[in-house]
Amino acid sequence: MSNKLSVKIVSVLIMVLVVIMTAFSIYFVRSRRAAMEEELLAKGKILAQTGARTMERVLGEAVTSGKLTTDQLFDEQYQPIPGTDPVKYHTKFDSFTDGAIQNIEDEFLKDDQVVFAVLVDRNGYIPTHNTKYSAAVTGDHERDRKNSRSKQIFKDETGVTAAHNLQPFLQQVYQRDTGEKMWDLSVPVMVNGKHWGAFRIGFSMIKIDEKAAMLRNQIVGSMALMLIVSSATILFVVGRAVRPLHNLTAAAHRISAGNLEETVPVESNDEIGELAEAFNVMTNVIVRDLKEEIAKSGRLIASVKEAVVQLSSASNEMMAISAQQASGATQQASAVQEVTTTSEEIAITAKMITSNAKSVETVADDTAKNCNAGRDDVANAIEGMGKVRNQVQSIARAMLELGDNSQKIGGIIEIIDEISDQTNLLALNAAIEAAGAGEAGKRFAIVAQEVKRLADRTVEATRQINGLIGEIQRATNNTIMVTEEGTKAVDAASSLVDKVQLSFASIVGTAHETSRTAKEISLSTQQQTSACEQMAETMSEVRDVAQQVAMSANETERAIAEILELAARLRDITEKEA
Amino acid sequence: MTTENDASYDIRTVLSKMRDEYWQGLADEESVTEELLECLVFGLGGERYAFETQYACEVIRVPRLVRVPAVQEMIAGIFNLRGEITAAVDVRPMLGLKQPELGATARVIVVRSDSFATGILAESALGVQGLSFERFEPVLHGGTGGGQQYVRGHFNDEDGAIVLLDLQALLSSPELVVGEA
Repeated sequence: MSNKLSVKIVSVLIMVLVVIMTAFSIYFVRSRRAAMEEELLAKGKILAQTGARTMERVLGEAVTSGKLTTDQLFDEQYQPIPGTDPVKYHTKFDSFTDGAIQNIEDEFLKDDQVVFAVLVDRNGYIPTHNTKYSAAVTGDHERDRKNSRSKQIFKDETGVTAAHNLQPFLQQVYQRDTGEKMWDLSVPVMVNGKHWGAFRIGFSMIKIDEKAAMLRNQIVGSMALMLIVSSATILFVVGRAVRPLHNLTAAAHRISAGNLEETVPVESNDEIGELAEAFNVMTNVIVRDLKEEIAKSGRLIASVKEAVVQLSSASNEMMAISAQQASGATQQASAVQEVTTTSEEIAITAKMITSNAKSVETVADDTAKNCNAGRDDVANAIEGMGKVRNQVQSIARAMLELGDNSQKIGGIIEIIDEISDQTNLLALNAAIEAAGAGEAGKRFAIVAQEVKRLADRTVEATRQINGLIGEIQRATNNTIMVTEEGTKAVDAASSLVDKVQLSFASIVGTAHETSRTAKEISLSTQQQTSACEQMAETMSEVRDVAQQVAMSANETERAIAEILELAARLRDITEKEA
Repeated sequence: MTTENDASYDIRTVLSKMRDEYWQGLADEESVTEELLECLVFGLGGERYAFETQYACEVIRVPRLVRVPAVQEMIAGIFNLRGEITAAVDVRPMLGLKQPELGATARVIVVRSDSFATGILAESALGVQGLSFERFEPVLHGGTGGGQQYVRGHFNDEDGAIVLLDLQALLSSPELVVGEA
């Protein structure tokens, strides 16, 4: 029911109308109330001023006539009246005012909007109240507060402000102590040019509120009536307009139920009538096309079936291929893994080679250093050898000289031997001569014997010397031979040491070469290491790719399986359709 | 051998011994208690021979000998001794001795007989010695074999025997004399 177009339109219109009418009602009521308050204020002002002038005149006359002195009039000696609650006070002028002004004050209360109209002195003291509020004291506090309000001092803010006011007119809005919302209008009262107090008029707002409420009720009622009438009208008109659409809808339902020959009656020539015509044309076209389409789709389904069969076989092939691909990729991944591991091992080995090559380099450098030191030592050794050689040669020379000299000594010894031999012979002959001389030769014989003995001694000594010389010569010859051997040995040692030096030089060369080669090895292996690391990196990338390929192949397999499934379903569908 | 000699040959000892001998010789008294025969001792055929000093004239080294043809075998040659032609005789064959080579120590002992001087070749001349008769053993002349007829006896001392030659007999031996003739 709520879906109906007419209801929708009506509800929207009602909502709009309600908003407009509410706004208008509020505005109208407010403006009316303001006008009423203004009017009331003008009236109150006139009343207050009239009251004030009247009070000034009464009080002035009282002073002039001598009923009250000025001092009595302005008395502020407030004498509390015992037994009163709230407390009441007597002054020197309250009895006068009770008689003189109560009638005047009561005169103002004839207007039903005026709640009170009183004279107050400048301290808020009310000597005489309206008769309505001047009831006798009963002792009941609540009633006395409400009905016996004369001769009290009202110290509330509104009262004090009104009593002290010197402006020509003062309006105050306040809650009275009795609870009413009030206007307090006050005008100052001057006696002989001196501020005595004020005249206050209290306006009740109840009357105005009542009038405003009545006005509002009238407006709201008329608005509601207008709303109901307009809603009913709209509902009726729209319902009439929409009725051909129902017919159209019913016809469409019938066509969709299979009644393809159905046409819609065209009842009007408005927009809905055009729609009905267009609907009829559309129905004809669709029906014709639909028949063609059915024939076409029969052919198409046959083709689709064939295609599905082909698709199934192709998918199976693809599945096999992708399975192969997956296994190939897996193998590739594992092979790449092996290659990666191997290249990492190669890299590690290359690093070890590098460190070993560095060790070799260090060792070769040390060797070169040591060989250089060795070369220096060998040079020293060669020098020492030369010295030894020179010394050995000088020893040999000295030995040769010694041999020569001992041969010379041998010659000299021969001379001495010769001399000894001859001396011996001489001694022998002397002995012979002595023997020949007989007794006289005996002493001579002794001399000859002594000479012979000395010669024998000499021979013995020279024999010893000869032996020694032989020894010396043998030793000398031995020494010469030894020194010659020594010279030869020194020469051989020198040549050996020369060879050693040459060997050291070649070792140094070799060590340098080794060091250089080790450096090259180190460099090469470093390059190899980095190459291997790059290869390992590349291989890991390749492996990742291969794994991705394997994964992709698996996914492809799954996808193909899905395709196969779909193809099977499609085949089922087409068979059903066929 | 030589080193031993060296060790034994102490020069100091030798010198002091020589000086002691010198002083001993000065101090010695001539105490001839026994009868001595003054002889010239020499070496022949490795043995020691001697004869009385009075026969000896002088002892010289073996001079250059001039071989004389057609004389006795024993005459080794002749030489000039202060203008006198003297024959050098090798008596060793006559004494039945070996004839070792004559060395540097070989001597010619010049002896004077009645009419002429003769040089006897000796392997060495050992000196003039007084030989004690107490140690003399005369040779009993029993035969002529081995040159015994020229030997008078032996002196036995601590070093062995010294043969005393009969120089008169030797020099007057027909072998020599015939040759001279």
